[in-house]
Amino acid sequence: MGRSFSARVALAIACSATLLAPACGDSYVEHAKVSYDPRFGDSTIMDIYGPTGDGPFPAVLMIHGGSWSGGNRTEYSDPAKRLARSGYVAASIEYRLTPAGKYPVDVQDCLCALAFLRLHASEYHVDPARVAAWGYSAGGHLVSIIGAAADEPTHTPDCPAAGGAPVAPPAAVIAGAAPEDFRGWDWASDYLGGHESERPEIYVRASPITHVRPGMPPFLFINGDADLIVPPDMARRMRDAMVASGNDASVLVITGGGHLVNTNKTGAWDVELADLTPEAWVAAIAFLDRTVGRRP
Amino acid sequence: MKRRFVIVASGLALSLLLSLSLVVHDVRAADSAGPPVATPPRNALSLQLISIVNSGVNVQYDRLMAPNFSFGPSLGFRKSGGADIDVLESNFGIESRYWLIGREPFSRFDGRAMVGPYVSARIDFGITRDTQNGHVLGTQMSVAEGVALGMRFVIVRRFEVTPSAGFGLRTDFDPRGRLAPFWRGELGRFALLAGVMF
Repeated sequence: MGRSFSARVALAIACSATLLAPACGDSYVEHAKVSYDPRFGDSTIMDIYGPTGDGPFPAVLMIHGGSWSGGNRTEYSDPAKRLARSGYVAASIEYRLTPAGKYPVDVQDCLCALAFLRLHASEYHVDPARVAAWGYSAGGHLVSIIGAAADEPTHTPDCPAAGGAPVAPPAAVIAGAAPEDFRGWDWASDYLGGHESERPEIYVRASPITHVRPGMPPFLFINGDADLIVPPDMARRMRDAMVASGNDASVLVITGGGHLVNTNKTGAWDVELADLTPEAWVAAIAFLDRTVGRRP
Repeated sequence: MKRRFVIVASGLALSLLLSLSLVVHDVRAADSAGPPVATPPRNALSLQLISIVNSGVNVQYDRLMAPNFSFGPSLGFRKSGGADIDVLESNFGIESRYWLIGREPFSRFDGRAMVGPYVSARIDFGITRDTQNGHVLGTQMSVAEGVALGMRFVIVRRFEVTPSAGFGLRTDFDPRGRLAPFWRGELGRFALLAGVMF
């Protein structure tokens, strides 16, 4: 990482100009398909990427999106590798999806993965006190709910890593396009087991915004202002509630950003998640450095 | 602030197009007397329409270098963020286009011109800077290469509209080495340019 500015520019152009680009850059260590709860097979595994060296390093638990019914851990493979090259251990996880993984089962899985990472901190060179969580869309909801309501009794996992005890929330949360309030939002009836009129208490309990209180971990929200699926107003309301309770929360709104399409520097549209745009990366790494720090 | 920026950017863009169209109209008044236009234009100046509705301005110049081949730079700025974090992006790019047949249904140019379907290759250099409460959070630079398939339509006289779709590879890197480089395949890249040929 000690290259001069001009050397970095030259390297970036050289790397960018070839399909062999991933071979460029700092190295990282990979642990593939690590099971955090053996009871559910490949539904509860994670890929762990870490910097070379003994650490202990801060870590990021990465939770993919997909409407709680699709997607997989490889969505965050490249971002996790980038974090590993930048001094963070990054664990991209699978969790049970609907119908098996209806709320709160997937929340329990995410907390179990968090507990596993802390339990095996020395093995993966993680500082257990500095584990953040980062997710997008459904994954944004999951990182928000484990950040806001890890101690909710129905969220406590019964997996071996957690030992039947409540799991402490992550030390910081990056929530991309996260549904923070299910009330009046009708995209999650399958996930929540029915419509709001049928299960109003579940809609309240599953909504991160209803758990806002003092003492929450810092949150960074990343949303596109043209996101028709998860409107950015949800993040703004959550931020306002958190700040009013004395918490640390901020919002990055990507101008022209949708749920899956964002405007790039040339003014064209790219198929890309809002939390992986260049401006989101800048905000995210600044947030992670400030809240959980990097190489000691 | 963001709305004012959009209004000013849109106003500038429209003024630019109007001015150019008047110049073109004056200089080439004879062209409108009847079809076809004798000399196909060798230049084009276009605006990225998508950027205008997203708090940005991106201008592209196109110069015909050979019967089938044009080449030109683009320059753009974009403002994003606006809640707690402000973002400013700038971009410089170079695009070369190969005009496949040099004709399209609506133009009146006599002979081949920079119209109709094309394939292109471009490279872009960009800078992104985030600030929060006046404090710079960080900077990221990007190098992006891409190829695209597009079509330039001449809609009225020399006004043109050019949609395109393509893909590419983008490398983001932190000039201060804070973040490791990041490579992204851009599988869907959609652009819509409009401008004037002269």
